[in-house]
Amino acid sequence: MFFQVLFKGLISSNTWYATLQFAGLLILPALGGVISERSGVVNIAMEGMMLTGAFASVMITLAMHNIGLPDFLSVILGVLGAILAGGLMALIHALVSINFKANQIISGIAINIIALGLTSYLVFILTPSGQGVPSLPGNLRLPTFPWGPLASIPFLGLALFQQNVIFYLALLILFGAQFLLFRTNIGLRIRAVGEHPKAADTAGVNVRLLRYMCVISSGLLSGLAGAYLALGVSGIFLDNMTNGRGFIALAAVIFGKYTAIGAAIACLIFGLGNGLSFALQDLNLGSLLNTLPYVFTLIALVGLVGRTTPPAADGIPYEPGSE
Amino acid sequence: MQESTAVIPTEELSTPYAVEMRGITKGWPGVVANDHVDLKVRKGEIHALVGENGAGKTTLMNILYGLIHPDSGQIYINGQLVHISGPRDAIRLKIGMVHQHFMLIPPLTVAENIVLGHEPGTVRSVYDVNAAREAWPAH
Repeated sequence: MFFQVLFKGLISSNTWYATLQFAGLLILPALGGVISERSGVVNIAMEGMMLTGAFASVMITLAMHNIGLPDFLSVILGVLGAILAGGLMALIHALVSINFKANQIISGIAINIIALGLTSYLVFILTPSGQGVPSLPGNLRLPTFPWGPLASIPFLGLALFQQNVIFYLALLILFGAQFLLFRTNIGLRIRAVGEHPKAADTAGVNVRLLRYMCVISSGLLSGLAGAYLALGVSGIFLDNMTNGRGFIALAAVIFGKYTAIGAAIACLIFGLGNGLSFALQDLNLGSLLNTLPYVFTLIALVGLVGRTTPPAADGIPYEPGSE
Repeated sequence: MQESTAVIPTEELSTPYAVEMRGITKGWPGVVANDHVDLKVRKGEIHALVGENGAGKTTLMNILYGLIHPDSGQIYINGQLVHISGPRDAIRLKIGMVHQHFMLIPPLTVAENIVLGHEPGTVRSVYDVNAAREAWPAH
């Protein structure tokens, strides 16, 4: 019985559609995490940055629509606002960890809590009688990418060519990030700063500037993921709608050994956990199935990965001149 | 802290000091590491800065290299007053520093370690492995 249902799930294109969609949502904050940690700043705040992005995208899109801007422009501004909002949250994390040299885990936790409280509160005070944001009409959502005839290929069409525009953008960013980190001079400097900031500083590399750029990038990417979730997938903003995805992305960063491609593979595996949880609903296990992506995450982190070595200076504030 | 000075050729005496540090003072809460230290180095001279642990030798050198900023005092390079805010400024002024502890980054390749900070091409360009391997005789 179990294997029949599992097999049915694996050959269903719906499973793979959901798998890739979930993976697409995870990969953006995961890439942000990879970039930030490679530069030596621990970032566990992708969850909060993503939630802030989701909130900003919906609120800005609605506000722009209400002042009479065309739908297309409202959505674009919503996405840009989401990216900016994520970046602002990241800027706080950068300021606290780089300038004030505070504990980066605590700063990350604080940002997650602030994001959760602030977005819920703002939704409460900004919507009429605090009833929450209405579901967005289709013309105020991010569309799927128009692949034309490719979208109607049996099986593959749904999974590969009917995803949201941001999904394909995320794929581009994925390869861009891998290239940036491992094939460019800036990437070399980022890795050097994360491994041994003093050596990099001595060689004339601007440690602080690079770390700022990397932490802010992680916020920009997480904010974009928030827009993808709210404007692309759900079409609404709900309290805590990221629902731990930022933390699964963090697991993907570690599982992927702090590389963009590795994180992407991890996101696919976690995505499959999500995809199969829909397929396995026939087993009548109820909401237990919703835990599947998290179970996959745990198994991956405990069992499959073994030891991953983070960048040597990850989480350690840089103090110039100290021996 | 003592300073041993090499014999100076007479024609060098009229030119400004290659490096001159005047009245360098640097303290941390509870300790003064450098108290109005002067250091004058002419072109071609080799100096040894000798002192016991905690005498402030490294502090003085870190100040010259921009890793630490002095509380007061000035630095002149070839007679010009300079402000060294970080190693990048020092490198621009042709000041180099070899640290007591090896400043190598283990996960990076030898070529990457050598070209770090002055990679072939610009900062924005793609890392050129072959150019990096050829780069070292130039420095």
